[in-house]
Amino acid sequence: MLSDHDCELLTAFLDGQLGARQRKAVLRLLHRSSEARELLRQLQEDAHALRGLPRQTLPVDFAAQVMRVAAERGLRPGGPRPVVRPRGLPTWAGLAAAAAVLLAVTAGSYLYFSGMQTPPEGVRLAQPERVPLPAEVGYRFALRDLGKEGLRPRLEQEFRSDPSWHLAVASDNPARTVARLETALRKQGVQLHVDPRARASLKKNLFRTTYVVYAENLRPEELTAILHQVGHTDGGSALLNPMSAQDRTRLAKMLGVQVAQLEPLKGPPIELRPPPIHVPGGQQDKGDKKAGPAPKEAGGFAVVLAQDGAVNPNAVRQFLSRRRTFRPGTVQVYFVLHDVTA
Amino acid sequence: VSADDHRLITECLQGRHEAFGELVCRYQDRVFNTVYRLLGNAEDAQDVVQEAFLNAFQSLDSFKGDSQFYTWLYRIAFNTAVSLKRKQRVALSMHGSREDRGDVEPRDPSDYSQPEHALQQAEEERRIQQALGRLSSEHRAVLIMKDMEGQKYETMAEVLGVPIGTIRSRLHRARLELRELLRQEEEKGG
Repeated sequence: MLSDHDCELLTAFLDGQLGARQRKAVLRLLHRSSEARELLRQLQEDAHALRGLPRQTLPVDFAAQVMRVAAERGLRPGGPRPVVRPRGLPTWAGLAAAAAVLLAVTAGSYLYFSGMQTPPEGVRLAQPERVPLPAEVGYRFALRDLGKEGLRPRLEQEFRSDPSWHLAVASDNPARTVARLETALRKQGVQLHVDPRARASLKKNLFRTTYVVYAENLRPEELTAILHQVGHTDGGSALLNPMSAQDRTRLAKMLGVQVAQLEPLKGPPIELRPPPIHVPGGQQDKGDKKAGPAPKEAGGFAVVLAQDGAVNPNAVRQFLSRRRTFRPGTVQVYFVLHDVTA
Repeated sequence: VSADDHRLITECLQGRHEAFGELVCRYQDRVFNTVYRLLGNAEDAQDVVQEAFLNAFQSLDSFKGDSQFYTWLYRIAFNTAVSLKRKQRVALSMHGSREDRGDVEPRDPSDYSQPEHALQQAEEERRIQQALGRLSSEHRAVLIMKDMEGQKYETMAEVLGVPIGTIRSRLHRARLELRELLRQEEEKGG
């Protein structure tokens, strides 16, 4: 058994930070101890693995961006220190009275847009921003593991802790995963809008395409059921994080809508239809009776986009205009499904 | 300070602020790469690096030139990152204990997607980054500075504001902890 001192010497030896005398001592240790040799080999492998991590780079215009911000803030050498404003989570995390929707594609709009290669006159195409690949912070799980005892209720409980989530899904075939997600969403009664460009990419099963799915007004149990169904037929791993303010901004830009339109409403459920009219004596008027049974509660809404495709914001706005009932305790989810082989 | 850095700093202090842009270009990727590995999030890292450069820009008159500009800049970025880390909720409450979290990690990343080389690389990176993420900030920082940045103990001690002996012992514990985490991952993977 190597002593703590020996281990520390081996570490410093690995870093080339020993003096001549200590270095000789380590070499003697390595000569007589197979355990020391094995530990050094492992430490060397780990250091090599760390060195082998891909280098990250910033956009080429980053320096210009820094100088622009400095100018905007009126900064100069010797001036007061800038205030650090880290990216934070949205402050409105309270009740998720969320309402529905997203973009997306109803069957009608699909038929309308599916054959369309170029936008009709008067339709502005919003060019979505590139979505960065997920970072390794957050909660990672395999979709298949949702079938295991314990994970599903825990995930459901987690979804109750925040009204907005970002879920990055790594798949070797994103088109297939999106198709399965579509099926699962529909099974939960979610109204789905698929952007025409996304539909075209899905049909061609293009590899290396990243898809974005935005869903709203989903109860935590519905969301976990959807993920469970996808995981039942598809593999892949998912990385879960609370949706950040930047995520929301990026999503709004992709959809061509205002950020405020994507923020879940707070408070009790809101019925956007006119309330029933009550007459004295507690009886409802005939008009209300004619209306028949109350309509089924509005479920979730979702929109599917291709990251690199153009989005028709008119269709998105149309979709948003269909929002009716915001259900309390629901969540919104920003899915990013990317090709793990890209 | 290198002659080039010294010239750019002087020019900036004399009013040619674009010179600082050249310093940003020179060091942005190096700082970003380190901060990204510290935080594990590219967007946060970009924000931190931007704020670090802005802070450095305003504090440039206080840079005495008795250390490398990069070392000074790195210290600012490191402190900004640590400050962000404190404020930010990066771990979900669901994580619970580390052992608990380990139970739900994917053990078989999916049979159908196997032998793709890119997938293996991505998986290896994920494994390393995940293990890094489980280390304490102190341990993660010294490993990144040493193994990814190739910093000397002296520089690390200067950046982190601790004695060299502390750097040595931290590295020792960090390496053993990382080894143990990777070993556990390997065992899970069969």
